[in-house]
Amino acid sequence: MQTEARPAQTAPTVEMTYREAVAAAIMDEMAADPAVILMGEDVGASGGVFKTNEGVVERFGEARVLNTPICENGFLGVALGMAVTGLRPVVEIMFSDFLPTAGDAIVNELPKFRFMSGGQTRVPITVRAIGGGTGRFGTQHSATGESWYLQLPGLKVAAAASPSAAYGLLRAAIREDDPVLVFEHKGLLLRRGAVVRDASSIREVGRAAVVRSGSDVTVVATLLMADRALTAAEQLSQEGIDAEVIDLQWLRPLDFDAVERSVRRTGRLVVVEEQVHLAGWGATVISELAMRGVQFARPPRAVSLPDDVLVPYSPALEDQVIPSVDAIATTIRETCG
Amino acid sequence: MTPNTSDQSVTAAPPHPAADGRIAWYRRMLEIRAFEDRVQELFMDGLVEGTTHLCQGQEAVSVGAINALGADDYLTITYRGHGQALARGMSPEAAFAELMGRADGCCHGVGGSMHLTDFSRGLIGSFAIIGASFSVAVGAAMAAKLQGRPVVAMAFCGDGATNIGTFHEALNMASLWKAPVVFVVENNLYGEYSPLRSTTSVDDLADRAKANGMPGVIVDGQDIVAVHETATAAVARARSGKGPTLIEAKTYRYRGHSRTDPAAYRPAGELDAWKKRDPIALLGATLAAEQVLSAEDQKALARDVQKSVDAASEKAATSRVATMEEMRHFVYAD
Amino acid sequence: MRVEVKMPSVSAGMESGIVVSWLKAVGDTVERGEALAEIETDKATLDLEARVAGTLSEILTDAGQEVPVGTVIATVETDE
Repeated sequence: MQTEARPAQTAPTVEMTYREAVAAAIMDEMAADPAVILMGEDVGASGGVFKTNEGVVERFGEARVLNTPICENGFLGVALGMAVTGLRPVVEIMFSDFLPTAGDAIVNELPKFRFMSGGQTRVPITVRAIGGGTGRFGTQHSATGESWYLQLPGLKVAAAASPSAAYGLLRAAIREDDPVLVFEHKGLLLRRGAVVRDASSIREVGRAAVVRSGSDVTVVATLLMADRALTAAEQLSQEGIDAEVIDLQWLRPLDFDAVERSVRRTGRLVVVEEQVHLAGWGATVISELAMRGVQFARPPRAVSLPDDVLVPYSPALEDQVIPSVDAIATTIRETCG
Repeated sequence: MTPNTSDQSVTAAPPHPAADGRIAWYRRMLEIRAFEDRVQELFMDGLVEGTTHLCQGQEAVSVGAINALGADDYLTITYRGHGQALARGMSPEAAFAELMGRADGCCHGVGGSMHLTDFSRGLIGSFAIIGASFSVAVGAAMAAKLQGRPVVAMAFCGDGATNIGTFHEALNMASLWKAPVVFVVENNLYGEYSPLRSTTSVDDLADRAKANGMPGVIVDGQDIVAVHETATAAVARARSGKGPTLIEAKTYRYRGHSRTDPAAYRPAGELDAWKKRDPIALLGATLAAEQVLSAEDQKALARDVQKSVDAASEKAATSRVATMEEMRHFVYAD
Repeated sequence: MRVEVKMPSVSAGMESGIVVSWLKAVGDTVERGEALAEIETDKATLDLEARVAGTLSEILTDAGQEVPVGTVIATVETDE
C-alpha cells in the first residue's frame, strides 16, 4: 500500500543500482530534514566502504557526515544521545557481523530507552547494517544478522531486497521516530532496478511486498534470498509451477497477515532464509501460521544455511553453503510435486 | 532613585558573594542525605523493591558539580544516581514515587531507582548497565555543537566504570571532536564489592584522561567548594569550544554497593576515618565559622528538611500504579 | 510514645529472619538511623536501624532467635 499517490506526469522513475538507491535515500532525507545526519566508519570522503554514501559529504558537508573511529558500541551510544537531543542520526554499521560489537547499545539501550523514561522521549535513530555472503569475506564478515535482534520490543527491523526496497525502506526508517535497524546485503549492491525517486516510494512500516503473484506455492524470503527466489520462480514458471514470492521487507513488525492470506490460497509454504533455521524468522512464520490454523497441503519447507558448517572463505565452498537459485527451485518444486 | 549614601558600619564583614549559594547547597546535601536514609527505610518496609544504590557520603560531588551547569545543559548519570537527580532539581516526591513504582514517579514507575530520568531538566538518562552513559553524553554534546547551541553535557560515573571499553571510546570521540562535555568520575574506592586496586590498573583515574587526549583533574570530593570550582572551570572550557575535561572526585560511600550489601569487605576504621570528612559537616563548619549559617540554624534546617523528605515519601506512597495500557504507550513513539 | 520495632521483610518472599546480635541494650538512647541489631536474612546479614529517636525500652527477641517477618522484636520509647 503506497503512502502518497504520485502525480502520473512527473513520476521520477530512475534505473539505479542498490547502492545508489541507498545513497539516494540518505540524500533525499537529509535534504528534507536538516536534523538528519550520517555517521559511521569511513562514511565521509570515501563514500562508505561499499560506496553506499557516494556524494553525501560533498553535498551536505562534514557537519552532517561524521566519520567515527572503530568503536561501534561507543558511536551507537553517541547516536542515541544525538537522537534524544534533536538530531535524527543514520548510523552505518560496516558489516552486520559488527552489530554484536555494539550489543549493549542495540539490545539494552536503543529499544528500551523511551520505555525506561516512561515515554518522555523518542529515539529517531536508523541503523544500517550491511551484511550477507557471496562476497568471499569469510565467516566473520558474511552474516546477514537479520534474526539476531528480533526479540526486542521497542526496535523495528527492515531488510532491503531490491533497489526500490532499499530506497523506500530506508526513507521510511529515517522518518520513524523509533529505532529502526535496516539490513542491506552486499551481494545486492550492484543489482539494478527501477526506483521511483520520490516520497511515494516510502514503504509502510510492517508491510510485506508480494513481488510475484502466484497460485501454487507461497515463497517467503528476505534480502538476497528474495532476489534468488524471484529468479527461481521465473524458471519454475516454465515448468508450469506458479510461485507467489513475498519479500517480507519488515521483520519487526512482521506481516504475518500477508503470508497467511497467501498460504490460505496456495496451501504451500517455502521460507528461504540466509541464516540457520533455528530461532530465525522462518521458523516463526511457520509456527505463527500453524497457530492460526492454516491448513498446509504439504508440510512447509525451509531453505536455510546449514546448521553444521559456517560460511567459509573458499569460493566454491561458500557457493555450496549460501542457498543457490537451483537449491531454492528444487525445494519449491518438491512442495508442488 | 537616589543612591544610598547612608553610613555603612565599617566593622561589618562584607557580604560573602557565595553565601546564599552555599546555603542552598547545604540544604540540598541535607535533602539528599535524608532521601537516601529514607530510601533505606522504605526498602526495609518493602515499599522499594529490587535493588537500590545509595550515595550517603558522596553528596558534595553531585551538588557541587551539578550546580556548575546551566538550565539548558545535559546530564547523564548511572545507577547510584539519586543524589544527582535531586541535585538537578527533581522533587523528592517524584523520585520516591519512581522508586516505589508509582504513576507519579518521574518515569511513571517503569524505570525505578536505576533510571531516574527527567528530560524537562536535561537529565537525559540514568544508566543501569555501565557503558552507554558516556557515549550518550558525548552524543548530546555533539548534537548541541552541530546545531550551534551553547550547551554542555556532564556525565557522571563511578570508578569501576572507567574500566569498560565505552569509557575510552567516548573519551576518545569527545577529544577528537572537541565535544562540549565534562566527565565526572566519583572515585569511592570500590567497584561494587571489589576494592579499586583489585580491578583497576591505576590509582588515579584522572590519568586516563591524558590517554584519551583531554585534561584530567583530581579534586577532593568531600569539599563542595573545590568541586564546584573545578566543575565550573571544566564547564566553561567545554562551552568555549576547547573540549572535554575529566574530573576525578575522591570520595567515599557510607553504605554498601547496593541495599543488601553490608560492605563487610571494608577494612576496619576506613568508614570512621571518612566520616570525619563528612561533606555536610565540612560545609556546615565553614558556614558557621563565617557566620553565614549558625550551628543552631543548621540544626533547624536539618529538621525542616527531614520533615519535608518524610512528607514527600508519604505522599508518594499514596500514588497509584500505572496501567498496562498506559505502559504500552511507552514502547514506541505515538 | 511507644514505637514497635519489627523484623523487616528485606527481600520479596522473605519469610523469617534471625536476630544475630543486639547492638544496643535496654535503656540506651538511640538516634534515627542508628543500628539496633544485626539481623540475618536469606540474602545477607545487615543492620536493623532505628526509625525514631528515643530510648530502647524493651527487647522481645533474644539474640540467636529466628522469627517470622513482622514480629515485634523490640520497642523504642520516643519523646513525642
